Amino acid sequence: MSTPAENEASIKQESGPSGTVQDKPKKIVVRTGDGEVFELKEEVAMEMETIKTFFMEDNISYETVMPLTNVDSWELVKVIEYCSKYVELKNKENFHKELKAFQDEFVKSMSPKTLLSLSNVANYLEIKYFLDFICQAIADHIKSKDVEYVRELFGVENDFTEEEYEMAKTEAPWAHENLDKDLY
Amino acid sequence: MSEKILIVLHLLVSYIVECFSHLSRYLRSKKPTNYQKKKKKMDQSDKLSNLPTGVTQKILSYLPIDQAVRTSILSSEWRSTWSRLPYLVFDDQSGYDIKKVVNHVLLLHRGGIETFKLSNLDGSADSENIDKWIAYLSRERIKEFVLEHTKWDPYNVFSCIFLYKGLTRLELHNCLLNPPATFKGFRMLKRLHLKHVDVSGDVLGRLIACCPQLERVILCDLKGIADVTICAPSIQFLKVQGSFEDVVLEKTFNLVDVSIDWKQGSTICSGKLLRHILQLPRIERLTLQRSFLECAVGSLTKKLPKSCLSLKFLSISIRLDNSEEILTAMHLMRSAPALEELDIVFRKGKVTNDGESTYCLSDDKQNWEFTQLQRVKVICFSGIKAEVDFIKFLLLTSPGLQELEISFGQDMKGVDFSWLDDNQKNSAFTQVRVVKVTRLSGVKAEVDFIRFLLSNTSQRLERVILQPSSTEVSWELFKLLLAFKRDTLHADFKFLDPSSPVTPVQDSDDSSSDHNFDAASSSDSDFDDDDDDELL
Repeated sequence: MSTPAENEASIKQESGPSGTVQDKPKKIVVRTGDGEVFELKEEVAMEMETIKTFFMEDNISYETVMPLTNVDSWELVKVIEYCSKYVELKNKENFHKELKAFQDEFVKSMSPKTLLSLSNVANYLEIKYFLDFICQAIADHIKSKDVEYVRELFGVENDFTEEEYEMAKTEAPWAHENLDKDLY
Repeated sequence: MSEKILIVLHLLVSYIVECFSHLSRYLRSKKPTNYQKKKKKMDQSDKLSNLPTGVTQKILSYLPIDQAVRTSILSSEWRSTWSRLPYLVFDDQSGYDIKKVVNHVLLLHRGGIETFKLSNLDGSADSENIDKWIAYLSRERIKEFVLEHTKWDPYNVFSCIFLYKGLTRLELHNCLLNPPATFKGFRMLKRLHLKHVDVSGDVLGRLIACCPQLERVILCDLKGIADVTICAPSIQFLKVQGSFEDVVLEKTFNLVDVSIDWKQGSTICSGKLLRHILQLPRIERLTLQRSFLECAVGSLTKKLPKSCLSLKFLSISIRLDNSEEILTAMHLMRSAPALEELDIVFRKGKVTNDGESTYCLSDDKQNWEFTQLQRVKVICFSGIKAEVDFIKFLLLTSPGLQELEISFGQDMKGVDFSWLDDNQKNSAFTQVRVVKVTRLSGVKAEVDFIRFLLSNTSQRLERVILQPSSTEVSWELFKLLLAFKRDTLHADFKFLDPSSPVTPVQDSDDSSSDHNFDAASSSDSDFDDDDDDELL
């Protein structure tokens, strides 16, 4: 899916919404924050509200390369992977079962930090179902992990004093029982 | 002399000072200052620690409530992040003390609670507490309220609940519902789901009538009620289950999906209801479970004023030892010429293997064809002749049929299909493209039946899908089918594992929404309205 375009002008695109009917499947071109250019299938790109709004609202032609400054190329690769699969499975009979299998594979090798980055991207690109999925995966991951682990993961600095910490803890003692002590 | 010493001393001191400054500069360059440390860390984890609030809240909302509260010890900023969660779910079977937890959460919550779900199956929370919580919530702009109470002691729903002006969804299990006489209704209520609720027919009818935006209504096993009138102009989905004697629909022009599960009912009322439903202008899906069809026998002998042209999906439960019931089913199907999908559930009756009652099918002179029927699914198939006759009848009268699915009932071990070979192989199923057989237990009878099916299909058959009922089923017998395949068929064989989506079972309840984090409304993500009950 990632085809670095040599020259934007050389990309043969029909114009978007105001264009005439054509036979070729439409492509949308975006550039990530780290400078890589990606060509997306229209149906996949339209799953992302941010991109959809950009092109639909002001009738911007598909020849324009949309800048996605807050997205890194590796993140976009993952997003495209998920959205393409989702679009592919959407109308199938065994949608839920196959999606679940794909989801399990998708998160298998991902570190929690990766998941967090993806949640940021999903939020920025406004892909609801992807964001729901990633957040659920993160929540499943931090369930029953202790406070140090979660702090490290979210990059939160402990600015409590000893007393404040104890006070916060005694506020809801039932919330701090039954924990795993294992890290990572 | 002393001057020289002074100069030397001066030089020494300045040299030492210089050394120190070099040293300290050197040290500073090696070890970053606290400020530099902080800045570097912030740059690296900038993306992560600065996750938008919406995202962190969404993550927290996927955690059980006690774990979400635990994030209060992460940092001073996080101390109250959980307290703005709009979606609260409490479950007394999750291991925490539900009274403590709900009290704590409500006490510290910063406001903005939109969804409150309480599952009190063990009865850990007593009515006094629940009354207090309901009273508290009346100060919030609560949209969804779900209470699943223990069945041992129904909860008399506290009257404050009738003050929830913005309520869009109300779901109660094992409660007593008694609105005050002055209650004017929930203006915004879209979904009403009552299960094992004690409420009188009048009260319920009034309640439904004064909620003008009601779209989905589910009434299951209500107590103290025999009749109910449902007057709801916006209603689209209705499910009624239990021992109702009569259900009257009034002004329900927008009904699209109706599901009725009758245990027993009067013939007159069932018949009237069925005829009324079939005349609804927008009805697309109709599910009649258990004894409804039996109760409505004879109601369609007199033709309807006009055919039901919008009905696309029909699911009926039928007993094949009752020829009147079979006839009624036929009339029903014929009243809906646009029918595309048909689910048949075979109910157990005093059946014998002789096909007496299905004689009426072969005797049928009408030459009717179900031209639009594309998919037929047979559930609880037990292999008796009457059932096979019925299936054959359907296939012979549906020229456009694409897909046939057969789901075996339990216990096929004693079944003998040797009589099948006696039938003429008149290639009854030539139009079928996909054959799906599920809930297989690996007995020979099943293989015989599948061979029978396949021998009646044609080259048009593209796919055969087989699914066992559990992982313990052996595939030895089914390998015989593959040999069969090579001879006559070019179809693709596909073996599914048992964990694929299960066939909808008879007594299923509605699925609830999964939580939607948008502040605006809680929409359903109902993929199939007949899925399993999902409260939390």
